[in-house]
Amino acid sequence: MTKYMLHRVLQTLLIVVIVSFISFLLVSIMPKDPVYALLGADVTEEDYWTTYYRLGLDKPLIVRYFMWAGNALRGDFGNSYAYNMPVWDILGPKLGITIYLSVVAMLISFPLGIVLGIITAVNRGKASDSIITLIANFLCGVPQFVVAICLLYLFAMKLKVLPAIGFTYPWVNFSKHMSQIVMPMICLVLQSAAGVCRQTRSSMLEAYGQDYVRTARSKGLKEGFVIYKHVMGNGLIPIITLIGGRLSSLIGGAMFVEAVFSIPGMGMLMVKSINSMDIPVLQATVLLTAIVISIAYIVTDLLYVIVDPRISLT
Amino acid sequence: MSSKSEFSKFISRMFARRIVIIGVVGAVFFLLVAILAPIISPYDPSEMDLMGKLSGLSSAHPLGTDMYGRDLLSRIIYGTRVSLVIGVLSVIISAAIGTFLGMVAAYNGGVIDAILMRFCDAFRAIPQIALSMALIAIYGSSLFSMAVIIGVSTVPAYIRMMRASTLSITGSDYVLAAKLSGEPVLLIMYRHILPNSVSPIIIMATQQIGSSILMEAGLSFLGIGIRVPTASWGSMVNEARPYLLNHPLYVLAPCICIALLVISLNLLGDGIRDALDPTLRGVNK
Repeated sequence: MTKYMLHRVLQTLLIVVIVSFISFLLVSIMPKDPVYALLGADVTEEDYWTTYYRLGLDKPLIVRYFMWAGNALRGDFGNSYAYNMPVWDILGPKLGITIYLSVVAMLISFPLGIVLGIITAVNRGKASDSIITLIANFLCGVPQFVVAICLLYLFAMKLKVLPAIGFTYPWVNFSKHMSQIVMPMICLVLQSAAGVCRQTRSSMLEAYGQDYVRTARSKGLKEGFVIYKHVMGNGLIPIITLIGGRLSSLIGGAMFVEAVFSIPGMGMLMVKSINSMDIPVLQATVLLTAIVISIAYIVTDLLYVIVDPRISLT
Repeated sequence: MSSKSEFSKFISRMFARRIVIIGVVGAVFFLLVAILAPIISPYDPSEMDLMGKLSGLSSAHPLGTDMYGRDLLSRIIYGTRVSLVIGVLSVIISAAIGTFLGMVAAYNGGVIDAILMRFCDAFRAIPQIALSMALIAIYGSSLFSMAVIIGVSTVPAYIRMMRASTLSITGSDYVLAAKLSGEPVLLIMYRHILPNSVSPIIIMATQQIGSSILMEAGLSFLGIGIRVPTASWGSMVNEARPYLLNHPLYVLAPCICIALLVISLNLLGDGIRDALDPTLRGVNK
């Protein structure tokens, strides 16, 4: 168990190194000159070369990578081209908001999706299954921003019961937080729960088809006991592996929802950075979100080992 | 005779669930709209008429006009093209690259396999949207580069899938026989491995078209995807957002189209999965 987790942590460190290299390469493969991106096109030759050497562009690629990675390890991602401030000062608070939204949405949507998935699988073929599955399939095909716009139109513009924009942390002003977060949270939770529900359903149904379920039934066990002990026990384990991927798509989804409800998270920052070619911010965003998701994958594996001891033997 | 009965078997398995019919009808409808766009759209989608902007529904403009007086229906019709082209093109790109690399990884094993797999792990850790955004910043957002970017960001999933399905075949006798008879590696992959391991890839690809379209719509909605004046559903929603209160149809019409197209394609994908992989079909009954 300890050996397995140590192996996983080392593997994750390797992944983070590769991701850091990929995000570093983003600058190097940029067709535009980074000095011009930083200072604008009308720059004197003297300023150009000063900046050129300051950014270390005269050094080989691999040396520059280690300089950048060394600084990044200390939390220094360089200066934003657009704001002329340290990247971390801009990115940190926004990253926090996006991660907060995604994690809360995940904590709500997982139990919800699993419960709905179990309901549909147990009642497979009945009306409740058809209705829930239909809604889940529908939600998986509707873009997050469409759900967000519909909610905005209905609750903020027509009924005027919820504020349309903004974000406040719960520890700053709880009631304001609750009213602002209802709609973004509904958007994120609905879609995420729909996905979890679909996957829970098919995983449960797969467990239904196994021999041990037939054996349990033929022993004359009550159907409720068979479902609880044999189907749920084995059918729900694979759902744990979804945590990492789900967090990744929730972070993506949060960016769209942020755009609709003007939440000052990472989504808006990324859009601004793209329009102003603010590469250091983009690099840091890619690296930091990847680290967060890698941590989620490790937690997933840890949970998996706890729930299913067969894994640690391999 | 036998190929005909194979085909009719395929069709009957595909439509085993009636709801798949809706998906096929929807997908064919949007495909026809995309192909026939120049014929059926009443106006030029980029033709502006500032005097008649934001007009409501009328017989001249069935869905009204947008903020520049462009005919909304025509723009939606042309937007179908953008969505379908990006959806299909990006999936072809990612499936082709992923299939090839997955085969290479599984066939060679060893260092090549390990390197490719670690890169897949690394890409899996980056949210698809963050990766797409970073690539858009570098390569721009023309129709073609959007398709490539969305395609590339989904390649790792195909590599994993193809690797897994190839691994079960590389040890088989017919591959060994081909190796011993001295066939070149690429020919072995093309002739013996590909036909026997490609069906999971086809299933995945058909289900991915919808997600790619959603990604394009999302990026365009954020204002960093397809640029004006090209009509894309996502960028239309973005443009129309300030008018949500007074002209809800302006915003909702493209939204509804995105949802209808993606849901149709997902249903179609489910049908193809049912037809190609009978083991999964039992699950969904």
